[in-house]
Amino acid sequence: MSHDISEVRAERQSAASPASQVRFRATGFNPKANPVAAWGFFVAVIALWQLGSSTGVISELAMPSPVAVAKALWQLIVTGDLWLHLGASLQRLVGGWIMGTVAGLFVGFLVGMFSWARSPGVAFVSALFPIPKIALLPLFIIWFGIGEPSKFATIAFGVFFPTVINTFGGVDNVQRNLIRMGQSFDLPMWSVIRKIILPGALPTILSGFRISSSIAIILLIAAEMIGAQYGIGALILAAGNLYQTDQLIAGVVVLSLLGLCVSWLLGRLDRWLLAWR
Amino acid sequence: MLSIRGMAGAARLARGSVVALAMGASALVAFGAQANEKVDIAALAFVSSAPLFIAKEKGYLADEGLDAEISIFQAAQPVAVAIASGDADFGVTAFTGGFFNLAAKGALKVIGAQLHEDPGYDGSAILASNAAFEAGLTSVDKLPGHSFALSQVGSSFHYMIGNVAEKAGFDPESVELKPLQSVPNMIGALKSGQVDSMIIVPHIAKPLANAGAAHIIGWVKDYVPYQVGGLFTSTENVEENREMVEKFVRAYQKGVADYRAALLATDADGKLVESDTTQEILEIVHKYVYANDPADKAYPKIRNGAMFITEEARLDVADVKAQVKWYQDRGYVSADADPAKFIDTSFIPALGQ
Amino acid sequence: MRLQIKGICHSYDQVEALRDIDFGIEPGEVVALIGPSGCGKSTLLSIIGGLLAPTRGEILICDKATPEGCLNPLTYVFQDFALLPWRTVAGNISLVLEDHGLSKADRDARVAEVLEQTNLWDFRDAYPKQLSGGMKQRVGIARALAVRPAALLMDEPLSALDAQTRILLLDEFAALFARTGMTAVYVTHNLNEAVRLANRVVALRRRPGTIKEIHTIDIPIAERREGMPELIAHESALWNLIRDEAIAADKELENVA
Repeated sequence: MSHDISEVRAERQSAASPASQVRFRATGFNPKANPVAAWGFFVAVIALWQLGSSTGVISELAMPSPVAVAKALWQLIVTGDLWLHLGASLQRLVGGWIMGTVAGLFVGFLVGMFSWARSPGVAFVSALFPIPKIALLPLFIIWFGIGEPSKFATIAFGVFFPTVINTFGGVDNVQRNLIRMGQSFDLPMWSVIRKIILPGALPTILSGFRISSSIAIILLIAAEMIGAQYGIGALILAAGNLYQTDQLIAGVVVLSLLGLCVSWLLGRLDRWLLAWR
Repeated sequence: MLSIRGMAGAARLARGSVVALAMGASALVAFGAQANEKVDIAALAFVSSAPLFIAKEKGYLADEGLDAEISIFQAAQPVAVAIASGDADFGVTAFTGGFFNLAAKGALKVIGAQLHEDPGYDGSAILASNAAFEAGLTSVDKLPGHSFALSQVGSSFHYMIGNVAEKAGFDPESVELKPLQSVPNMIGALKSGQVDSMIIVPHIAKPLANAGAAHIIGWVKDYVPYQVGGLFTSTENVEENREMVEKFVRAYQKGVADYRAALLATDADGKLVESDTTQEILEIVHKYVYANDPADKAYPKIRNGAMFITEEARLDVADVKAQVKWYQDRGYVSADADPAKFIDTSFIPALGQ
Repeated sequence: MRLQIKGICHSYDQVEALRDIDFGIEPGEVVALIGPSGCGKSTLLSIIGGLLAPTRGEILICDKATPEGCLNPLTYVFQDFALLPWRTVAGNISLVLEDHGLSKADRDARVAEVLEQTNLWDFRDAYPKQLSGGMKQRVGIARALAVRPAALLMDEPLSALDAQTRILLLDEFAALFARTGMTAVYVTHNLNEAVRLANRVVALRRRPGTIKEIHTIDIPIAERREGMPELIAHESALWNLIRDEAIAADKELENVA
């Protein structure tokens, strides 16, 4: 029998058309990171932009040339104004962010862990999160004045809500069985919070930091609208009012670089705190 | 802001030629009115724009064969942008660093004057908050060390305090600037004592002082000259439609003459008095300014806000140049901005010439 | 430690999960809880361990004798291991020792001791994600042993493992019980595990879970071997006990699906 079968197989093979390879079908849907392409794209866009400005296709009124922006930036650096502005802004960013984050973590943990805080907390946050904080600026000025406190408050307020949402989301995401495990070993509540819930929620909290730090940078402009003589936001606003578009773009570049730095720092923090992942 | 200027494109077409006139609805209307040329005017609902309103309402523009349409803007800066971008033909606003930067890019020409500070008339007042006043800020020379509210860095408020400081003999850097973005914010901050001082137009300053909410410690008119603002049009209009600009200027000057006769009339002691045209002009201006207030409330406000305008709307070119230099020295206006290039005195001679 | 389960009833919302469960667990005895899916055996274990409040009934600890240095008399081993991913093997074990006033040296000594017992010493600094399922469950066992419990409560400890690892760990559990004489309650749906490890097997009916029979296996755990005819006989006896229940459970799940 086996002899017969092999004969049949051989026959079938020869009867079929010439052997062809199985086509590989699983192509695409697998994007890969390419840092060279990322930088290349930046360089290409800036080169095209400069070309457009030099040839007059892009008018100086519509958009300053990269060279003009670079000059404005250089001017800010050599006059030392940049450090003055950056220092003022960093102070507000860091101060406001820390205040908003500490408050947000505290409320987020309460909402995440206690029934009495959950429903009121969620309702409160859902109602207030979408409000553009800039709309509340006049109130902040009445409450906190036109000095630094209202600037801290604007940023802190913007940072607070996403932090609450991320924190209680993170607490919710901590596997219940880990908490049960802690309880089954008679860990005191504070230990369950500190050793299980906090580190378990940390990945979500840290990814929330990315959002809240971006929001802080976005709100910097709003915060520095009122009574700020120095600050990157104040610089951008003033440049806009003065139609110094080169300075305006230079300020935007500084903000963007600031964002990149913060993102890089948070990446390091991630790698340090979440090495176990 | 600019979207309200939607008709501007059609208007430009209509102005172009008789062939273009046949092309749109607005053109047909224009044709019916003996082919009047359409002009778009950008103005603010302030007394400073009053000569425009007078020229329109008293038919001076129509007499010149211009079919004028006035669009009311909410802020000064967009008026300049609208002219530079070609969305409007004529505008009047105060000079600011932003205005000079825009003008330096070549799209604008200043052809006449708006308000001018004059020693004989009340202009912008220097105010101290009650708290600061009680603590000793009773005169302009005591401003150093105090905070000062302004809308923005490089605004006319900024220039005014700098100018006052220079002429009063103190260092402008000794005043702490508080940019608050808008006039309502400035008023709020001064009333609540969050800032010590500010400079503001008379029709706001006087009621504040009368209500006991602040103290007037000085007047900008004591630190003249100061050309507050100007009349301007696009470079394109000056170069390609000179005749139309000339017609407009004539009508504007008539408006200025009426304004001066009605609102700047004084008696022998230099005190403001009513002339026979005062009521008529107030009625016209009221259509545009404080239009929501009843006449008995609006008229005193209009009179308070009616600052001096030079005869024939002559521009104080020397002062404008000094202003540009002041902004340039502080880096608010680009160094290559040349007032000679964006001021055109071929329509109205400069003040003092 | 002797445990007495007295009249336990439990309902989740409208569903009655357990009814009138009564039995005792003698010191040094391993009791397996078997039954078809949904019979409430895991629920019962949670109630025994104090992680779930029963609707009615009580769990009594009759004999308070606990091993020397016992920190936590009733200690769990979980099906899904329940290891903290951010702690190393040693860290996971030390977690359960940290809140009992032990000195650092005492803790380290205990951790080292259980790591040696479970052959995990070389893995002490590894993170859970680096370990195979079998290794993770060995950490779970080591952690439970570190508190020197009076009784182990094991909730399907081998269910999440592959078949080969299961055989290996089953032998280790048998050796552990034989060596230590540990009291244990062992929940499983695998009859082979039950006959290898348990002195008595409590077979539950399903929904509401009631005791169908308590089956005694009187072969010393140390002497049991895989494939012993006596064990196979016990296994088929157990299968006969719960077969109909399992078929019914199977059908019901189909209907639900």
